[in-house]
Amino acid sequence: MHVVETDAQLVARCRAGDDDAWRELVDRFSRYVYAISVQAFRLSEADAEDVFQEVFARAYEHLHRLRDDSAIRPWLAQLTRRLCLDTIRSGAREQVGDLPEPRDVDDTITRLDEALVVHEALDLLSKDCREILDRFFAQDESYRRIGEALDLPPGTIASRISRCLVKLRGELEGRNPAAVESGG
Amino acid sequence: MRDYDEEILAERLRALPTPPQAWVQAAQEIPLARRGLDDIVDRARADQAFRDALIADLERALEGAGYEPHPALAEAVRADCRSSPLALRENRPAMADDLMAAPLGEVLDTLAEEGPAPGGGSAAAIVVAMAAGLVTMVARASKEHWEEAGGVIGQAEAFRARVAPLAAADVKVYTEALGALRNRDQLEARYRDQKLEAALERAAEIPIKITEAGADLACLAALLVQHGNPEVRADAAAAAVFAEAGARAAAKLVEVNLGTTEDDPRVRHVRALVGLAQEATQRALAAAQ
Repeated sequence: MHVVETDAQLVARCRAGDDDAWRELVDRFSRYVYAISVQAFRLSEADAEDVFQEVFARAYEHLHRLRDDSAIRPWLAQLTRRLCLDTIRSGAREQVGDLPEPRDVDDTITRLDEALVVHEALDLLSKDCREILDRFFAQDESYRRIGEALDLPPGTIASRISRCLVKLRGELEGRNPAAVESGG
Repeated sequence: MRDYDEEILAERLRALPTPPQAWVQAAQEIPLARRGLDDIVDRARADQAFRDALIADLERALEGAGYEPHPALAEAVRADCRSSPLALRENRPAMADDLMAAPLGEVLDTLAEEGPAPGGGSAAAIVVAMAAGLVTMVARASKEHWEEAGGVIGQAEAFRARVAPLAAADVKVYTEALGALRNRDQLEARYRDQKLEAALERAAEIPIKITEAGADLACLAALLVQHGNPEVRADAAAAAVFAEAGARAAAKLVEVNLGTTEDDPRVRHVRALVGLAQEATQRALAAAQ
C-alpha cells in the first residue's frame, strides 16, 4: 500500500511551479475531465479532445485563482462543463436561442465523482490488484492481453478480478468518511 | 459514503475510461509549451518593427500583382468546413445508431433487410451481448453459492457495455469499407490499394473486439457453471455456447475482411481465441450435465 498525496497538497506543489506535480495533476484528473465531456455531454472524440486541452490549459493559467486547493475537483468539473456547453452551442450556431444542457448532467457528474473516489481507493490496493482492475475495467483489455502483460495464466484472470473487487469493497468500507468527502 | 457491492464498484471503475495517451501527454507538457511560447512571444515583440515592415511590403507586393482581399471567400470556406460533419451525420442509417435501443423485433427485421449492413458482425455483437446478460443473470442467482459471484456480475456487465455498442459500430465501418470497395475506381490510383487496405483493416477491428469479448465471456460462463447456483447452471452453459458462437462468427469475418494469409497475426489471434472459447464451452457443457 502506498500513501497518496491529497488534492490540496498536489495543487500547492503545482502552484509553486513544480512541473512533476502538474504532470501528476493531469494524470489524476484526465479521466474525470474526459468522462464528463463524452458521458455527460456526449461530445465527439474530436470535440472532447479540444475541450480536454482547453480545460487543462485554462486550469494551468488560472490555478492561482483557486481559493481552496482541495476544491480542484469541482473547479475542474465546472470548467469542463462550461467548455462542453460552449462547444455544443458553437456547433449549433444556426439554431435560434440557447441550447439547454443535456439531461442528467448533474446525475452523471455525481456518478463520476463517486467513480473518482473508487479510483482513489484503488490506489490503496496492492499493485497486482490495481493493475488487473484498471486494465480490465478502465482500459477494456481482454483476459488474454492482461495475462500476457502481467504474466498470469489466462484461466486465472476472471477469478483474480473478482477477488480484487472484493478487496476494493473492503478498502472502501474501511475508509474514513471524512477523507472520502474531501477527495483525499 | 454509500454501500457498494462489486457490481457497482465495477460500474464506477468503468465510468472513468483512459483518454488517449497523446492527449494526456500534451496536457502534461503545458508548462514546457507555455515557457516556449513565452519565449517566442518575447522574441516576436522584440521583432515587431521588422514584422510590421515585412507585412506592409507583402501587402504592397500583392496589390502590385493585382490581388485584392476577399473576406467572403474565407467565410465561405469556413461555412463549408462547419457543414460537412453535420451532413455526414445525417447520412448515417438511423437504425445503426439505435440498434440496441430498438425493440428486438425491429432489430430482427433490420437484419433481414436486403442491405448488407447490419450483417454478421452486428449479429455476433448482439449474440455476445446476450451471453453477457445471461451470465449476469446466473451470477445474480449465485451470490449465496459462490463468493466470486459479485465479481462475475461486474465483469459480465463490463463485457455487455463493451460489446453492445459494437453492433452499431460494425454497421458504420462495414458500410464505409463497402463504399470504398464500390468506389475504388474513383480513388487516385497511387493511393487506391493503401486506402482500400485501411478501410478493410478498420472493418476488421470491430470483429476482433467481438471475438475477444466472446472468448472471455465463454471462459467466465464456464467458471459460473462450475461454481454457481446449480439451478441455473444450464443458463450459464447456454451463455457459453452463445459467447463461443459470437466469437467464432466474428473471427470468420476478420479472416474474410482482411483477406490475408494464414500468417497474419490478427488471424492467428482470433483463431486462438476461438480455440479458447471452444474449450471453455466444452467444459461448461460437461459440467452442466
